[in-house]
Amino acid sequence: MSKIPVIVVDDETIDRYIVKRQLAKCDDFEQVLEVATGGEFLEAYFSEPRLTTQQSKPLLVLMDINMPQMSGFETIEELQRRMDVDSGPDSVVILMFTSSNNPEDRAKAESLPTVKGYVVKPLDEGGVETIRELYYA
Amino acid sequence: MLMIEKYRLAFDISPVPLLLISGSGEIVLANAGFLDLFGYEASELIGLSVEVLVPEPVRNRHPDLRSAYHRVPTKRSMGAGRDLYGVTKSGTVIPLELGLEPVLDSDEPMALVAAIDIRQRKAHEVRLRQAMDAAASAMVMVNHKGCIVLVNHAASELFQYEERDLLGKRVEMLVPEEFRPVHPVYTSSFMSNRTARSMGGGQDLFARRRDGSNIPVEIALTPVDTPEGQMVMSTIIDLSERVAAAEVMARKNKELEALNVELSHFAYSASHDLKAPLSSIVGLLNICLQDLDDDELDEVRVNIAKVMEISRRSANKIEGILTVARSGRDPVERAVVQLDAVVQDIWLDLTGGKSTTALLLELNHDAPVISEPATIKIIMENLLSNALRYGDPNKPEHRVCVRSWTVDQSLHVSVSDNGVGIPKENHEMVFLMFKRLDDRSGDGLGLALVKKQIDRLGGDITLTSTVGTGAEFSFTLPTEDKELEQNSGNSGR
Repeated sequence: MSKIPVIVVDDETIDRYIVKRQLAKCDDFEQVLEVATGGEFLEAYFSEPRLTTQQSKPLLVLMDINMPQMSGFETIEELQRRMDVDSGPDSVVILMFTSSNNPEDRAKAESLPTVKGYVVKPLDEGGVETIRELYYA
Repeated sequence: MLMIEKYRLAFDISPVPLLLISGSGEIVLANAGFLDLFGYEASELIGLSVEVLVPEPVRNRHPDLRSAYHRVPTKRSMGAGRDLYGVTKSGTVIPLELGLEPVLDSDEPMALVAAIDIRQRKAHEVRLRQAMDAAASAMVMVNHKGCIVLVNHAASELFQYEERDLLGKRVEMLVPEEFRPVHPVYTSSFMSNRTARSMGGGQDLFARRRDGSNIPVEIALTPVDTPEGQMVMSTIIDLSERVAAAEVMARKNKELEALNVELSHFAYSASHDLKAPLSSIVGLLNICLQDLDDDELDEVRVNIAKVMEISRRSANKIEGILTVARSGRDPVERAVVQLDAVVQDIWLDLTGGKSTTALLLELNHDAPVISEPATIKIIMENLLSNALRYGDPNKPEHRVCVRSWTVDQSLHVSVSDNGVGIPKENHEMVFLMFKRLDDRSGDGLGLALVKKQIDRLGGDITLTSTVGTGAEFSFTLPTEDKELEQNSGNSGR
């Protein structure tokens, strides 16, 4: 079985490091790609060759919410808009990845069609298992 | 003479003081009541000119008035609306009501004068007047034709008119212009259905003052029957203060609502911004535990250092949040601020004297600036630190410029730089707490604190910026502090 391609979008270097370390212990994931802003993510996502078409599996996106410039939600809305216009790749699984347990943030995540789940920081062994389950759900 | 004898009988039985006067003004007959009232014996008074009974100011004119009467003798009351007085033998002046009647069946023209002592009535009127003037509410009495017949002192005060400017005038002069055409209709319908009630039927009422301003009032209407006919007494209560108090209350309510919104925003942001670093710490420590199991001690050391760094930053941040929250609550000392020295000191602190950024000072404000030195320091620290941080690497030189000037006793300061600038869509958000709009943003507290402090001091801060050319933050502060100036002036003497 091929591994899951992962990209983490988070302005906090330490949080990206924690993701890399935790996912590295689990054989199911490929080496984690990381970007610090929503802008960088969109650029990487729509660049040629497409991130997603290089993979046999949908790309897993761990998206932080609270980031300077563009929030995680804004990034996803922009992604959805460009996917519609562009009829680009839709083989993507987005999970919100945040320290916020705020009901408003959870509700907002549920309202976005491309968001498949919500993972609360910090990422630990249980969190890794949750990510795997959400990804295959 | 026979005729006089005929009158004498009637005179002496009349309880009303009576006087018979000849055409030339000579006193022909006076009854006992009249003699009593004026303190004369009959022998002293008969034959004298009637002018001895007229007090000084009118005495000289009285013969003319008298002969004018005799040219067209009619039965009438004397004086027509004016107050009349008589003077007694002892010189006391007493208010009188006088009736005049021509005596037609005599050989020569004669006049019969009936004099009624109205001292009691006058005293009563004065007492009533005093009572009305002592009332706190304005009172205006209006007759059935809608004319003002009585106003008390409070009414003159309220409407800003002298009493004499109101008496006899139509009451509509006290009604706002837009209601003047309909008001007489209301007056006449009240007169035809006279029950005490409040005016306006629950609507907001306004009264018009002499200066044209309208004030909110409450008006009670009471029907009054007088010898002069049906009247209505209106009692008018000035609601200005009550309305003003209600407005203050409404404004305070709005402020509280805004504060509540700010508070929930604060709670949301604070919970995120304080929770996020704790999550990172737990995540890192979790990895440290795993690394300890694997004997990766170097990695553990690196990550514990990171944990300590995050903890330190969080502690500082909490300090910062407390500073913002406390600002405006603690009393701050006011003193003379040396803006030049303040800016230089902060610049040295921020750059350590090693920055390649150029600082330009163009300080042209009026000295002295009296404000809160500690607050000015916080404001300038944040603005300068931002200006310093957002240099544009594509430009050969980064410059920060501080300008100042004075307009109408208010201090204007601008801190500008030629750095990367701020996109238009972010101009509003830069002052929001916890808003970090850029990787170079600090903790998102600086400008929020600056704005809060400037608001508290009664000033204003604005941002003008174009991406690529730089940013300019300008703020104004009222500098006059009369109380402080006076106090220091007094202590100097």
